[in-house]
Amino acid sequence: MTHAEAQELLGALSLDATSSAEREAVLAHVAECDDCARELGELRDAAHSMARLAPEAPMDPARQARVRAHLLARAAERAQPAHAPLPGSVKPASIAMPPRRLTHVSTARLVAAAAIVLVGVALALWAVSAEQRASALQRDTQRFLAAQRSFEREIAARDSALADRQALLDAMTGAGVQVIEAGAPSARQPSAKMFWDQITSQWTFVAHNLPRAEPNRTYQLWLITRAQRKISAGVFATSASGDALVIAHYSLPKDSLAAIAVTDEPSGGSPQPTTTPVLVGPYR
Amino acid sequence: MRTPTPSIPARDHAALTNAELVHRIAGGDQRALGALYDRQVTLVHSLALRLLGDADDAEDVVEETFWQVWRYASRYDASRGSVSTWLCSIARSRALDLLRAARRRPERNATSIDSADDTALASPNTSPLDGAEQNEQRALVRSALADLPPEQRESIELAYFAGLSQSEIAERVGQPLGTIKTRIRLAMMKLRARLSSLRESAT
Repeated sequence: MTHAEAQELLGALSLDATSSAEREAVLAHVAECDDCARELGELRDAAHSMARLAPEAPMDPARQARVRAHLLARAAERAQPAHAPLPGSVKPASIAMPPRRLTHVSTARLVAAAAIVLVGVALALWAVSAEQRASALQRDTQRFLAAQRSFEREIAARDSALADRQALLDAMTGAGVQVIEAGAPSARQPSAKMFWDQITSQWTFVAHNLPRAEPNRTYQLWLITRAQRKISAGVFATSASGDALVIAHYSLPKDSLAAIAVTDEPSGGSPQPTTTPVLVGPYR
Repeated sequence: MRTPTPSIPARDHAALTNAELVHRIAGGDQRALGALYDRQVTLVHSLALRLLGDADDAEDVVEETFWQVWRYASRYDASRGSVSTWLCSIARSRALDLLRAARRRPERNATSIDSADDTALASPNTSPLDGAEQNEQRALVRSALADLPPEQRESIELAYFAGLSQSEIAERVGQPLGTIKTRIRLAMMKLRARLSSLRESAT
């Protein structure tokens, strides 16, 4: 695809409105063209600014709090994969009867009336009780449905975690995977391997022995093309033992990669590398 | 493989930019995830509800969007768009998946751009929680879109809110594909330029 042809389609691509063949062709050009890459970023910002046209609709506060709590619980579990809490058990709602007081029963003339009153009270209590039972049943049903929903999400989260692990395995062992090794200039220092799955365009980067980044600094991974274009594949932090794993998706023609590199950058990353790489791995 | 970084007090998160929060999330900072959620949940929910018209589906999209942020924060690249663009991109993609699945099930009626009504979908407890900045952004976008010829605006709104491809839009509005491609290209160029100049004049 020529530069002019790509330019024609950048607007549609920013709206995901191209055909898949057009999309692949434009993205292949964008990977090699700084102007188009910058323009596509700006067009995407413009396209998604249309989200502001949606009528402002804050979530119901209860929903918002529930999603937040569930999200953070999933995040905590994912960060520290220990045992998962079981879905909350459903307790039957207690049916509390309001205290009733009978007052002022002093003469025999009132006995018959009292009997009628007692029948009336009994009927009233029965009605209240039935209403409360119905209400309790409704609450139980709601709790049960909430527990079921939570359970389904737990299953989905576990399925997702399993799928992630399988995907990681595939990304490192698949038929179309190229391995790029990167090391530091000095001995027994940081090392890394990049697994480039040329079929799925997934990049899986595994590093070891990287020192912890200084405060307000971060590591940034780069794909360097033969045209000397430096494409950020994301920023990352290391574990206490100096390990890191980065997964990125980026479509790059097979013969256009020259090397991968890791640089030390200010927090949030840089548009282009600003320091000498701590790791470099030439490709072929 | 996510590696925890030391948490910072919650009050400090309020001072961080969205991009800085995403960077912290990439380092395993759960408080940063909570802070970004609090800041952006209304934008994401409003978009999801606008696309889907169903509060349960919108809730699922909201959670899934921020879950993707947690999992893939290290992939965020500021040079390819703002954090809110990234969030909207994830949310819209998820919502359109649901919408397309619903289209394949004839018993469910998906909300389309034709049936979506600005007031009908608005939550009754709409409040100015997001403050003046959100309102200002909204006004900028409305103003920029108002400058577009109606047929160009229609094309990009069908693409964005109904998830239609250029071919599907051509079919929907009964115009040649080439005409739709031209409308979309011109509309997006003008929208980008207009938003840029409006933002500059607003600062």
